[in-house]
Amino acid sequence: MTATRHWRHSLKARFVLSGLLLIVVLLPAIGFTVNKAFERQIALSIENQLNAYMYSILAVTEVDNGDVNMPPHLVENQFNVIGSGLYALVSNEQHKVVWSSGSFFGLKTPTLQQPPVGESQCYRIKIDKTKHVVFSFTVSFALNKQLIPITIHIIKDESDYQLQAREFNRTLWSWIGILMLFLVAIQAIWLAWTLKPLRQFSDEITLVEQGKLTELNQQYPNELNILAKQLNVLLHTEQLQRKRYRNALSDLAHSLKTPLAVIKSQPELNQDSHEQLDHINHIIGYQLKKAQSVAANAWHLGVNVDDTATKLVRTLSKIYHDSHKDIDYQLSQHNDQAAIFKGDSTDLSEMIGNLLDNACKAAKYQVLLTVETTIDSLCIIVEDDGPGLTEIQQTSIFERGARADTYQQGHGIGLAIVSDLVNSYQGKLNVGKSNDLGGAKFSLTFTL
Amino acid sequence: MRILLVEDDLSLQANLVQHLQLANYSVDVASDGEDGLFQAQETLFDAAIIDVGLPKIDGISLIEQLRQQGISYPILILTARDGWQDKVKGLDAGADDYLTKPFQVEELSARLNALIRRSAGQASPVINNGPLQLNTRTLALSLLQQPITLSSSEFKLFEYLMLHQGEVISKSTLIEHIYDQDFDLDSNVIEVFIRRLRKKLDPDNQYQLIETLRGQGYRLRSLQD
Repeated sequence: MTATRHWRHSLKARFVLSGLLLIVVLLPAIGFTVNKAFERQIALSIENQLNAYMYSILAVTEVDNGDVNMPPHLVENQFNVIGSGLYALVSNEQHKVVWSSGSFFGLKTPTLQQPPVGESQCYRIKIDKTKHVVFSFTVSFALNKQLIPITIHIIKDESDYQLQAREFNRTLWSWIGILMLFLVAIQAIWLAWTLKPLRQFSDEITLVEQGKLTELNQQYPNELNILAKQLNVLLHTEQLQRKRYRNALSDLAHSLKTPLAVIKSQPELNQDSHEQLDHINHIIGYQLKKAQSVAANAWHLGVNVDDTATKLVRTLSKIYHDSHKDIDYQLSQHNDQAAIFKGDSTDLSEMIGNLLDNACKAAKYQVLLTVETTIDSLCIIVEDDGPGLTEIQQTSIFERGARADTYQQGHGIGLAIVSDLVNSYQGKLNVGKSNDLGGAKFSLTFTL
Repeated sequence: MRILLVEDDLSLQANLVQHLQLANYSVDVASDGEDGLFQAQETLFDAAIIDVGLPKIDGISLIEQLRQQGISYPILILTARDGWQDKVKGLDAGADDYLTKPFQVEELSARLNALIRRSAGQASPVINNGPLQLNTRTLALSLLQQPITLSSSEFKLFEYLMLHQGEVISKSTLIEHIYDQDFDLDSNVIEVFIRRLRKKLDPDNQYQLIETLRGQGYRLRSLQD
């Protein structure tokens, strides 16, 4: 199924298939046609030759009193040598052979055809199991106002012609075979040369997807260069728009949160006001972060998960330095392929950052971040040695703003944001108990 | 402790100054990145609080420039941008901690306190020196478990000395770390405060707590030795 799909959807496969069909079908067809033409040419040549022999016999044929008189020796010596392979026979109206050349001595007379007067006929017979060509021509001699029809048969052994045809056949098919190999080689080179820009194009798109390139190289043939340019424009525009959008949201966050900070920093503010301000702040934070997610965008550049994870682990280690909490990080890559998240780097940072931050808050001493890749999935696991989560907490924790914590600082809107982001990337989020550390375990799985 | 606060929102700046002064910090303020850079180069602060969204030089660039110039005191960033990439960028630039707006002012002073202690090699908010115990978070001082009341200026001076036990601190350094830019510098005032501290903490000169090194400054004896 996959192989069929591959053949149907691969341009290269289509080229190879059509090229092979051309070589495997067309060349043998040409060979067959040439061979047939050559055989036809040989047949014509034989007929002409026998025709000439027939006239040389006719020239010396005399009919006297109904008898056929022939000279004892014919000019063409092959007619005189016994078993030479060239024979001349004369038959009368009653299909009776009335004369045969010396070369025919000892051979059994075959069944011969007798065309109408003035007409010739060329056909094949077997004499002593050997194929022979026969050219028969019927003439009518006028004798005393009486027409005496006789048929001259020139018979020639076909072995020479067959040998000639076989030789031609062998040579022809040898050269066609060589030509086929040559064409296959030429086609392979041609395919490699023609498809090279397409392969480069495809490789570069993969590199862009993996985040190793930011744009496509524009040194392609004209037909692809237009596409590469358009893709680059699309990439730049999309990145620029995303940046502008994020900056606008960032400025909005700044504009909204700074006045909140001013209000919160007023010494006379009561507890109720603080709580209301925190509520407003959470709503602003959650909605802005949700709006910043670009999961729905069509074009996703690949993000190296290791880079993002390393930076976050370093940052959180700095933040939680005084709490004496260790953040371990393990990376397990399938076939040493870089762990790539097909999405936006900010979204990835938010997911890992929020999970790590929550784990650090919940942990007693130890947090473990594991990034695993398989052939078709990326898995990010965050575990801690904190008190863990009850089953009820495990379901309610992702509700927006829910704080399931019994510990001092807990999972707030951070997890709701993680849950929203994972859903928007069609990923899976699992919560459970860490076997190794005993606390909570959050696993994010994305199909590559 | 002398703090540099770089915040462009003047209302927030005023509220923070008021709160930090109540928490016994001397606060110098700047309202843009350029002014912040100038002040940070001119004065040896104990810590800086820098807002990320600043005019002229943004907060992240300001921190990078300060670190490039070898300024190593702790920096806490204030940011309304609470994305993890912004936090990573801020901490990678050289900040030591971050606080997301809006925040409780008490949390700001607690974080600041922790940063200053960490930079002085103190992990706990409670600093002990023989019979003396100073809680930098509650601003409480006790001698042989008896509370001792200090004025704000006396507390600032003694806190600095407690964080630098055994080190010789010059009079000018003490002035720099204890008083903000608006203070009229008069070196005699330090001598007055030292005298008062000796009187309150070691009236019989039993511990020889604060030594005067002529021409060099003062040293708080480490009584653990």
